[in-house]
Amino acid sequence: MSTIQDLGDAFERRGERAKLAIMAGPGVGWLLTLILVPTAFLVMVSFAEVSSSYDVVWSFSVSNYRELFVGESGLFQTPFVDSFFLSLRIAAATTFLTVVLAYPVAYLLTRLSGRRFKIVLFAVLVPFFTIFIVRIYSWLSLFGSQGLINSALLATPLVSEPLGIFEYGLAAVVISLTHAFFPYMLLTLYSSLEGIDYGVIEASRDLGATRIEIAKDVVVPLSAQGLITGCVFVFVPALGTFITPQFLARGKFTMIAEVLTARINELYAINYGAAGSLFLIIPTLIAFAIVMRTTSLEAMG
Amino acid sequence: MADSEGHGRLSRLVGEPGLTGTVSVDRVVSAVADYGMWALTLGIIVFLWLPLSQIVALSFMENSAVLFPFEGVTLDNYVSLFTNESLLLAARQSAFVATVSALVATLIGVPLGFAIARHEFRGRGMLRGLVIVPLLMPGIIMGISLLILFRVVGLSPGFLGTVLAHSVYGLPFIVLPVVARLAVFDRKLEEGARDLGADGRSVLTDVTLPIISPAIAAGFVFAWLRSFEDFIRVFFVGGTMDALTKEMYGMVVYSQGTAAMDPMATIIVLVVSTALAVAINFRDILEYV
Repeated sequence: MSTIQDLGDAFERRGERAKLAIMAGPGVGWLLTLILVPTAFLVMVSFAEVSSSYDVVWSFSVSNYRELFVGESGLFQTPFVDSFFLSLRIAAATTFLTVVLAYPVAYLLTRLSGRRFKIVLFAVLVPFFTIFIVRIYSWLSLFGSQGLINSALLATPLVSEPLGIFEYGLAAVVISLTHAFFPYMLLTLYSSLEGIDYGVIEASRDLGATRIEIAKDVVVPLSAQGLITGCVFVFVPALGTFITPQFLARGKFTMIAEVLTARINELYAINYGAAGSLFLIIPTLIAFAIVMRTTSLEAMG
Repeated sequence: MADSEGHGRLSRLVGEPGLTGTVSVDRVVSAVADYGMWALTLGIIVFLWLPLSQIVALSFMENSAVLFPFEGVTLDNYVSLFTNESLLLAARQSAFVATVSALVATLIGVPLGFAIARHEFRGRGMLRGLVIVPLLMPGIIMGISLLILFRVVGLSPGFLGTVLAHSVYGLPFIVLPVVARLAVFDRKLEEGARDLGADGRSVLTDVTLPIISPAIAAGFVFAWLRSFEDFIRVFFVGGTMDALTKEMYGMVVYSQGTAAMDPMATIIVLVVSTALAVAINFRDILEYV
């Protein structure tokens, strides 16, 4: 009897396993072949060479990395290094600005309800109303020496010639990225602030904490998780953005994605591109580790 | 909440009657913080609306490059959009790629979400991590790495490669809402249905799926939009296949002829904002973002 029972259990377990394989199999296959395997190839190709017929020649050399970092005028004097550090700074500035702008709005949203909540939410999600390329494009006619901002300023008696900061360049890129990524930061901050029990804030107030102390000791620590996740979801895409500097830097400088794309597009240097993109994978991995430590999958829906 | 706060703000500003005659520093800070938060929010709303609203305005202008000098209102830009065959074709192509990709992501992602949410198995922890990678991976890395993969296995860039790329890109947008929804799902509903004689299949189709379908629908919309708006992945793996974003990019970077750009952008803004307004009104969209 017990053997039959065992056999039955075994069949059930096997059935259960088969069911699981059918459910998870395609998804796992997709992730393995289209994410993990290509990333492994990327690492391998970064040490390989490309023949004149554009085929990958499997070999082991660090020449791609040397090309990234050693320039004619010395170590680290290359367009790649310049673009990489510039991209890091642009991404950091964008992240900082989205935090500063989104925090108060997210906090305000948690204290609103009903109609007011919906109206404010609708109003602040406006960059979501369109697609990324249009969001960036929408700043094109605002910046520039003949752009709307400079034209408007020139119409006032305060300004006599176009202001440099409103020309195409660094400010245009950072401002448009802040505009484009604002909703990501807002929504992650909002969902973590919303989770804070308002009773805790009232209790600290009753116990004599000042507004500033409440913000510093209660609200910020309790929303740290959302803050970190939001930073990751702004910083990583901002770091790898291609369209934004193409539209709004107008050749004044190049970001890392532009350097890699140009090399691949013009010279089919996928080995150089692979080596360079590994330096974008490092921040991605750090971001991944942070998100996995701070956020549960159930909370990310 | 809003009203009680308004009252609280006022009473804090004037000081609570009978307690002290003076206005405490904290109360002033509170009031300033409250008004400051509203003022800042209004400022941010202006900042957010300005670029898109001037695009809408430009789409009706004679002189479509800049607002000044004002030369009159016209529908010419819309005419140039609807006579721009290649742009319209690219828009249709992008919509088609997005639809197929989001469908593939849904078909693969929903069962994967169920497996992660409801089954214990080896490697589940790793899988939970792997699922969010397409979301975090910069587009350029996905583009370059898939270009290399397709090159190595001999798949030429084009429609299939783009759908493969976009379907894995869209996967987290399906899996995450499904896992989140199943985490708060009351399984007693399923037990009840089973006790009342429903078999496994009808429990799934009549109880479970209807409850999680809004999460799936929201995920589908996000996966669709992400595919539709993607530039860098389709740039690397799309080959010569046309896409709306490639067409728009070419218009802005290689030529100054952007007359069709503003009306196209305006139409996209109108469609998406209407959809979002409806979503905010009828459902708590924040549950699924």
